[in-house]
Amino acid sequence: MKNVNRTGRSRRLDHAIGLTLGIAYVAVLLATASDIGFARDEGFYFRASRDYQKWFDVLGEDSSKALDEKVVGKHWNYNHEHPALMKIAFGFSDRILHKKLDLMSPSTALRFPAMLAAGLCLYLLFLWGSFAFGRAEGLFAAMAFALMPRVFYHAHLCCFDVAMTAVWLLVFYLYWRSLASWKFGLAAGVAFGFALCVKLNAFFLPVVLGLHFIVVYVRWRRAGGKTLGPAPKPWAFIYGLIFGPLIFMAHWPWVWFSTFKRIGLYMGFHSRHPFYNTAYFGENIVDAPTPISYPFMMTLFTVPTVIIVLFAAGSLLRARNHFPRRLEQVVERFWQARGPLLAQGHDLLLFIGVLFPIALIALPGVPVFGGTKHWMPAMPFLALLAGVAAVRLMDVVSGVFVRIPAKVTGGVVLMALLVAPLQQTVTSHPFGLASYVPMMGGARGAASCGMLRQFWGYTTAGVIPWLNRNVKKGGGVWFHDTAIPSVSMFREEGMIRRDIRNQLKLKSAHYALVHHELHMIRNESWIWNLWKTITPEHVLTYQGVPIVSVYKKPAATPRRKAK
Amino acid sequence: MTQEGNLNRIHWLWLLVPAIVAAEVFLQWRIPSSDPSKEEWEKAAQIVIDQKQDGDLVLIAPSWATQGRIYLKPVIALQDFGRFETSTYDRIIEVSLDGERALETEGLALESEQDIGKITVRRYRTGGSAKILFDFLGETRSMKTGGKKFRGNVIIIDHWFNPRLVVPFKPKKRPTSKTYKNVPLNGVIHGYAVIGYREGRFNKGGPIKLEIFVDDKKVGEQLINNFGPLEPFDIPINREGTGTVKFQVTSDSNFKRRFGLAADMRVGAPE
Repeated sequence: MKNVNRTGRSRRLDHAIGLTLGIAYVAVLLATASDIGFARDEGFYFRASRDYQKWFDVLGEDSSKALDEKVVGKHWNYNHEHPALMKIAFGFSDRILHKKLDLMSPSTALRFPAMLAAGLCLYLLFLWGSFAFGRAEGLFAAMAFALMPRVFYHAHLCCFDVAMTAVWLLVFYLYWRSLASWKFGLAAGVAFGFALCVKLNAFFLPVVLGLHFIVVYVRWRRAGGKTLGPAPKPWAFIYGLIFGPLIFMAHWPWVWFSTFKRIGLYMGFHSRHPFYNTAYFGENIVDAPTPISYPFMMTLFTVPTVIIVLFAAGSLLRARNHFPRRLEQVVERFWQARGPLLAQGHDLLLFIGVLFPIALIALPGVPVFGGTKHWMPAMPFLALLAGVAAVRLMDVVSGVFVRIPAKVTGGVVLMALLVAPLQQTVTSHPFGLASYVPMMGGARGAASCGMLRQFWGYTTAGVIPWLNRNVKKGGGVWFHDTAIPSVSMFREEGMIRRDIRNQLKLKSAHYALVHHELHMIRNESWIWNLWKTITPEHVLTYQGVPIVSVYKKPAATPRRKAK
Repeated sequence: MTQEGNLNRIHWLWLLVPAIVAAEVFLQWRIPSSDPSKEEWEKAAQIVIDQKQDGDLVLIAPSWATQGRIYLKPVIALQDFGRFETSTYDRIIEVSLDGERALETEGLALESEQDIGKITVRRYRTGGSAKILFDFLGETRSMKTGGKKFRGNVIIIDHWFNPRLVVPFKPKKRPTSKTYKNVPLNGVIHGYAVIGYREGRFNKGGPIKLEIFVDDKKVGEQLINNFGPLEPFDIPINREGTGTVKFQVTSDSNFKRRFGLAADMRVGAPE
């Protein structure tokens, strides 16, 4: 905890560097956004965001009318299984940045708030890393997080997962600082309120942080209470209790009426969430019990191996401070308070940050269809611990090359460590969900192992140029797993020819897409049976692995003339 | 061992990190280069087309490389694609990427092997194919369906996500059947019955009872369950002359589901 006492200009510089990192990442996301097709869920959020904006139109014209139960129901009923904050942000971004200022295309404007959330992650990571350990650690953590291929993919989307990761990290960080300061407690309480407005995961925050607080507090008491120093402050929980429900209720007009029933509906949707299909080592996981190993193995298979190795090394380096000399002292050592207040329990907080989201998904009753995105809040903490090891390695190398200035060797080591993640992220684009680490053979190795290649039908973007070239005027295409609003966005963006129709019935289509997932072979069999062909006209591949196949309806055989 | 000595040894472990970086970069660079080019596919396909004879099965390993079907279109028939087993084939021609082997070729005698860039074409001889006297999948024109129009064989996806070409049935409480006339009877009725993956998933497929009649006399019966293993049925008939074979299906419910069977009358030991 070498930088806790840093103040003034030094802190401002930290903020400036963090902001620069965040802004640079957002710039990269903006520059690459148009390559990524529109995912299934994005389509629903596009529609919801614009629906909600219509309510704001009513509010601007006649506020009393906007508060009418029927009007609220009309505009806010769609997609009420998720809170509204991000959809409101998406909608305003579309309204201002696209419709009013024409600075961005509609889809980029709708996605922009999620990109900002990704930038916030980098800013916070740098801030936390540099505050707790040093700037080099913070820098490496931020870069390592940014260069996880799956994170990079999700950071583009008009969805909630990266935003959830950002607010999760924010609440953790503010909670940690709040142990010594009521101001941070107030900020943590407010941040918790916003976290509740992003996604359901936020409900776990008081539980996780509450357990952490109990440990820190008990350690302090056992160490002699005030003789050790000031007690850890519970301000984050007090303010969270006040601001959490207030902000949650205020942000979502849908719960202003029939409040308990509607909150029950919102919660109930997730407690009874169906198990969508996902593939894991050739098995189609579609029901409980889900494999406990799933999130652990998928983390190994999708996070660049060098980051995983550094995370393991960083964890050992941090945990080493807590190891007792004798095994029987483990429990006693765990409950010992050492060092300044903020140092107490900091490592534990990082370990909880990594383990909790992963362990939650590992529970056999929890659906795993979301792949890695559902435990993405663990990734910043994983990156922070990797940063600790990266800097240790820098020190080791500097110790070997003593004649070269330490900053030079450190910089070279840091860049060298990020080469592999950078290469994997660049080559994964725009097929983020199909990317697997080279140690398992990349997408080819993963396909041979029977792992999931994609979900959400977002890869349609890759075959649109082919469709534009080959579909006859007015031809119908069956877009398979790409949702209707997502196809509409391709049209609105001008990516797909306007005359190409979205044909919802395979029977009436001239071309059909198949997004390759293990269970989707059933949909492909419809094409084989109906069109009597097993040969696609075009196959979009990533690293040679089929991602989307396009079938063409065979020309009808001329019927014999009736006698 | 001094503390300093320990540290030095531990420091050597850090060398693992650059080694991992180097390995990752190299492998990541190498992965896309294992993808065959269009020219390689076309060349390999031409070799397969030249080699292919009646009674040969052409398959792609790994099975996920579906883009190969574009190039091998003339030699992969629907019936081969939806096969249940390989016992009816004399030879197997395997188009292999990344050196992969298809499960069906394990233990077979390799006849020839040819590398075309990143593709390997291998030809195997099977242990001798069964002699098919009558294929119930192929002889659907002689089939009677109780007055309803037969719309053709279909591919059903089984519980293990394999495509299976079958004569479709709609199991109901009352029996539904398909009858074939003039079937040579001097062999064994060998076949498979399969429930669609989705119906099995929702536990709404089985049990389905399949009964087989020869000249109106019941010769065999099989109960097909949702998650039951895919096992063939073998019913020895071994009679001279021809006769009528009827497959009859019943179920406890009228739930609409995918179900079908593939069978033949054969001489020779099934796999």
